Amino acid sequence: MIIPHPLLGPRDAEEFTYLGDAALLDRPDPTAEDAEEAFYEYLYLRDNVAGETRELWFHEGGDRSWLVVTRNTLTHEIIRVELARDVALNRAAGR
Amino acid sequence: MSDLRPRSALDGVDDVIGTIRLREVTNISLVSVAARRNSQDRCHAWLRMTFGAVPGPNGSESSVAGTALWMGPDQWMLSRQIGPDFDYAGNIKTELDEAASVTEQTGSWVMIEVTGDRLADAFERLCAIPIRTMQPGEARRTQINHQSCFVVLESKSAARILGARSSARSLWHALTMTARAL
Amino acid sequence: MSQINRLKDGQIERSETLHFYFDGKRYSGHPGDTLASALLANGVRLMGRSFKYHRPRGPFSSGSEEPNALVTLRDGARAEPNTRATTAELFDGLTARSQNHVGSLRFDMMAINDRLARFLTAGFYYKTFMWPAAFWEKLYEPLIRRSAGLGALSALDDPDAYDKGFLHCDLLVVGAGPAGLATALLAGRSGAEVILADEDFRLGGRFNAETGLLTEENGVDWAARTVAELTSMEKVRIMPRTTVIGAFDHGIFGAVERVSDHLGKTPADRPRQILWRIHSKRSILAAGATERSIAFANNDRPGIMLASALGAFANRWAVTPSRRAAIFTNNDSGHRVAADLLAKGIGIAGVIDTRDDAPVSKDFEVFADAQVLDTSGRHGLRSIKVRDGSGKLMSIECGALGVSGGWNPNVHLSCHHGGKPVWNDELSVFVPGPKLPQGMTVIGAAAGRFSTHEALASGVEGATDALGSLGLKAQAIDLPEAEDAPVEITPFWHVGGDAGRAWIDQQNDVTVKDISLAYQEGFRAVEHLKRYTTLGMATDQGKTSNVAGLAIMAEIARKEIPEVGSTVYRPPYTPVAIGAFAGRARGKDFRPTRLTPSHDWAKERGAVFVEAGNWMRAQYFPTSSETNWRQTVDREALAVRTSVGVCDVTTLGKVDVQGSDAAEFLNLVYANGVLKLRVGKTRYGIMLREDGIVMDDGTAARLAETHFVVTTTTANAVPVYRHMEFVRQCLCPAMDVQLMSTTEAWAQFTVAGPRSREVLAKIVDQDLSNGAFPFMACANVTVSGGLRARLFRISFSGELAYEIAVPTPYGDALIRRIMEAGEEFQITPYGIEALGVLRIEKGHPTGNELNGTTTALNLGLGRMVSRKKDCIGKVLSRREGLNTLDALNLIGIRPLDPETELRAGGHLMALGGTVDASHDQGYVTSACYSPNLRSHIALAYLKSGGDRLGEHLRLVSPLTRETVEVEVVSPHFVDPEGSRLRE
Repeated sequence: MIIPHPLLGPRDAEEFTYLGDAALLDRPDPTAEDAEEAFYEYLYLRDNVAGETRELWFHEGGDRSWLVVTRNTLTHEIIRVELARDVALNRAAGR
Repeated sequence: MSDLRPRSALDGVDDVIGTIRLREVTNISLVSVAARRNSQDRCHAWLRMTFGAVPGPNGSESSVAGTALWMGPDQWMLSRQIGPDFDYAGNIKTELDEAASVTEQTGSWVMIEVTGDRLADAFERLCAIPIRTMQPGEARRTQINHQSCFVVLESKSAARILGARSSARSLWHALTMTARAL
Repeated sequence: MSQINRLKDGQIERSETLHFYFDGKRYSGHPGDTLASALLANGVRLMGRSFKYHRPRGPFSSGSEEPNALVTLRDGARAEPNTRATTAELFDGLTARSQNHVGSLRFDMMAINDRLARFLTAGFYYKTFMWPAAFWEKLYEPLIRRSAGLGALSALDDPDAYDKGFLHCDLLVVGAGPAGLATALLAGRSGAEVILADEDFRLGGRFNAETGLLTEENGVDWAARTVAELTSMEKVRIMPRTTVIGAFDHGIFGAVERVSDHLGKTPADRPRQILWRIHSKRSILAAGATERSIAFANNDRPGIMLASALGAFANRWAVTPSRRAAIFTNNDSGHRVAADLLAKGIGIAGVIDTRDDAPVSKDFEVFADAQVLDTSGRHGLRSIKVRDGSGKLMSIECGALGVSGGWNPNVHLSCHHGGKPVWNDELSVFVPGPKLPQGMTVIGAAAGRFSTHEALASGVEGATDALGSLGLKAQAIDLPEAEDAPVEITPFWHVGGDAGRAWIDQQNDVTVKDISLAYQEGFRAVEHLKRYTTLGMATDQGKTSNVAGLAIMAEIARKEIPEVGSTVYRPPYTPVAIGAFAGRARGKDFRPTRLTPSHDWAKERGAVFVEAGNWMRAQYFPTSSETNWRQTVDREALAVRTSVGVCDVTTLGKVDVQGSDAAEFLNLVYANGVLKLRVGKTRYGIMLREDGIVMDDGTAARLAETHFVVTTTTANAVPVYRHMEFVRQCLCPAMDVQLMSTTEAWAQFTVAGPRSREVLAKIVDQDLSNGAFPFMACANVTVSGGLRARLFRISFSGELAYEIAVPTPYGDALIRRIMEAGEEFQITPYGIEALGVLRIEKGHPTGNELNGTTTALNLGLGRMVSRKKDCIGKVLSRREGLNTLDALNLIGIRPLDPETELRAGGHLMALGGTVDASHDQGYVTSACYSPNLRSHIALAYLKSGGDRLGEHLRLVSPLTRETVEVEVVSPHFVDPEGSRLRE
């Protein structure tokens, strides 16, 4: 499996560590009234997608960037790879 | 001056195996530099001044002041041929001050130079870098026998490997086995 | 007897003679031979016995699809069972043994199974070994295991080396037959980086095996010229003897190169085989086709083989199983083989063609609308029984029979991503389906384009398409004139009637009857059929049998072949030695070894080492008078409490955290507050996972306003760093904070014990008095007259202690200097055993306690989780389930009899009552002998443990059947007030 790193080009999946769904970027507000429920959903509830899914991968054997990888679980096609930091910054800006 | 004497990871070993020469590069000082928020421009300017250009992803730049290697976004590893007694990190920190986070790395790494006409053949057995299409100055972080390394290509027949110091002997073992197996 | 069946010409070097041994008998052959061709040349047709019925067998093919001629190649530790004689390249001194017989190959006592055939049908095992159940372990399983498999492993260590490697290319071409050569030539000329791999040692594919494929020149010559041109191209890499075994995601292929198998002996240090991982931008599958057979009674005798194999043996190797041969075919290629054989001087006893419109020949007799009904010959074919178009039966004498049922494209690699082949009715074959691995194009016979002209043309098309997508311009290319015969075939899978067993899968002894039995018994789905009959499950993975099996199932079920479906193709394409997968990663080379900066010094002192992750750590330092490890560890632990000891703690993870938001960042990462930590101070901290469970513990030292150094446990150095980067990049991307692992940058030693200050005062250039450098202080200092160093006054042992760090190159010098400085206090080096004793005596947790289920509350550190601020894991640490009244608490336990050993992993139960899981009160995490307390002690988690000090319980270890009465005590066995470390 090859992950096309946005800065470093195609890299073998062996260099990466997988974390999970990119929803982990959206850490809930810990001060909210329903924080416990929100964190429970944030941490444990996942869609089991047959199709496009967004995941967090860490380039541990490379530049130590966290990446958001959009891939298709049916075709294994990797559709988009972004620096997670950029994605997180954009989300913060959009809030 | 302290009377404690440094020891390089492989005691300066230098060996020719078949057509491949393997040599520990000693007296190398290393420091990592990461630009602080809003100080990228200042760091870039300093790198340009010191190394001639700002190394980008998969790249390195060399000058009389040493070599700068891209490590990650806004992060570089600098190396200079000067003994570990010299406080390289302290020196760089003085220059960059609060513009960068500076970390001493001299002890973290072993540097091994690999030379020989069959360099590409050797690297094909070691790691997944596209050695035959890389240009001098290009660099990759990769894994050699499960060890995270930087490989900086110096010419078609010479490259430098930076590997973790603690597993320097395992790295050396892997390199010598491969040289023998060609 | 010397090479009585060697014919004229062929692609062998007759000038050189090679000697080899088969079943102890000496034979001769030539370079270019395979073991199979050389044996045939010597008149040997019988090469092995079948799996189940122990039927005599000879080669059925001339390539890697071979089901029958499997031998044990080489001997001793290098013996390799189940090696195909048809691909084993001959070398001087080769030794091979036949397999799967008791007694000699000719007179196998197990051949009795053949007489019992009617009891040994499909499903025999499932039906027979069912009852009584008690027989299974003692009788049935050993029996089955004894008879399972063909050859046997030597059970000796493999003395050969294997290697792995990585290649990159624009275009990978799999197969160097007509199509593959044409495509590689065009791609090479157009400037692409090309890898051309072929499993054979001679490139050219069909050109080597058949004649008349090109109209104006010999195909062998064209292939040789093309290979020569490709060899001269710098960007083209030609890899003969290289089997591409699998297609993986995104253009990655696995390939096994047999580097030294064709040499008598693997040269020293050189690998026998290399497993390559090939990264390709585009790939072209030109794997050709495999001829299929026709099933008829007793179609498995030595001498009966695929017609193409008969042709290849004659044309390429100049050998034949017999001077008189017949052909049984349903298509034109059988006729071409007959013509080739005739040209080699082999008598053609007849061509039996199932078609009523079979072409006629002036050179040999053709029986149209005819069938081979049966064969005879005990150890090899003697005659065949034929029914001609008029229904007349006749017996034809021949020692060789070539069978051709058409050609099956080698679609395997095209299906490795779950794609299914599709049935082409016109050609009566499965061709690659629309869902191919990314970047793959299939050409030539593998795509069902069977004529030589079509193969070459499809090669050009494939290369042109690939070059276009690579951004390269295809150069012009002249292709040789080639035959363009259409496929004339009427599908014919098996001869009907009840004459006897007709083999489909020769290696696993699956016959037409077995398939019909599977149908009758309801195993009709293709995957059920396969498992019930074992069709296609042998080492050849059914390359010559799967499609025929499907076709016959379709016939019985009165379905179309595509309705029956096809089995899944999985890597590897052909069997791969496990050694090739292991590569260099064997024994000590399985993973790298990490050495501490004091390793050489510790070794000089005779330390005993233990592996901790990849690290080699000093476990203890025995003196010559100590005979038991406990003596050593007791001495080391006592020395720290009474005088001073030194221990290498470099392995602890260290991370530099810098930036104007460094403190704020750590405040989020740590459960406890670090925001207000003053410069020059260190704080113990715990990190939680987001689910509220403790991830790790360590210290955070603030060296400057914007610079912290945090430590992690040795085991968690990597995951904690990864987690911190996650928090930094994904959760607080706007913060100004930078992380850098410095685990290896600093050699760090603990100097611990009441005399530690006096020792370090001699080394550190700064004032170490309690006032100047109090408990939990940290600073950049210098040592031995100016060397930069870091000093932390932290204590894991509970004694007055320091951790001192210098750049790693000075670690070796520093440990020796510390030993010198401590000599007057009998400074004692200690290993991780004593380190463990000291921390258990103090109740400090490590990995045993932070076991992935532990909360801060369990550790007695619940109050460390700040109520004032957010931190990772804070919200979910409030969960009800983690805060029950009977939550586990970390406590200490002591046996009533101090000499009784306590077992980590043992469970705590009430003194009376039942011992079972439902009465479990807690468990022991760490145990040791405390020389300070002169008692065994342990740390344990106990329900509501904090309130139960003084209680007596039973520690039960069901594994060792031990029960010990223990008392619950504070986990702080030594100096519970913590006054020593502040002195």
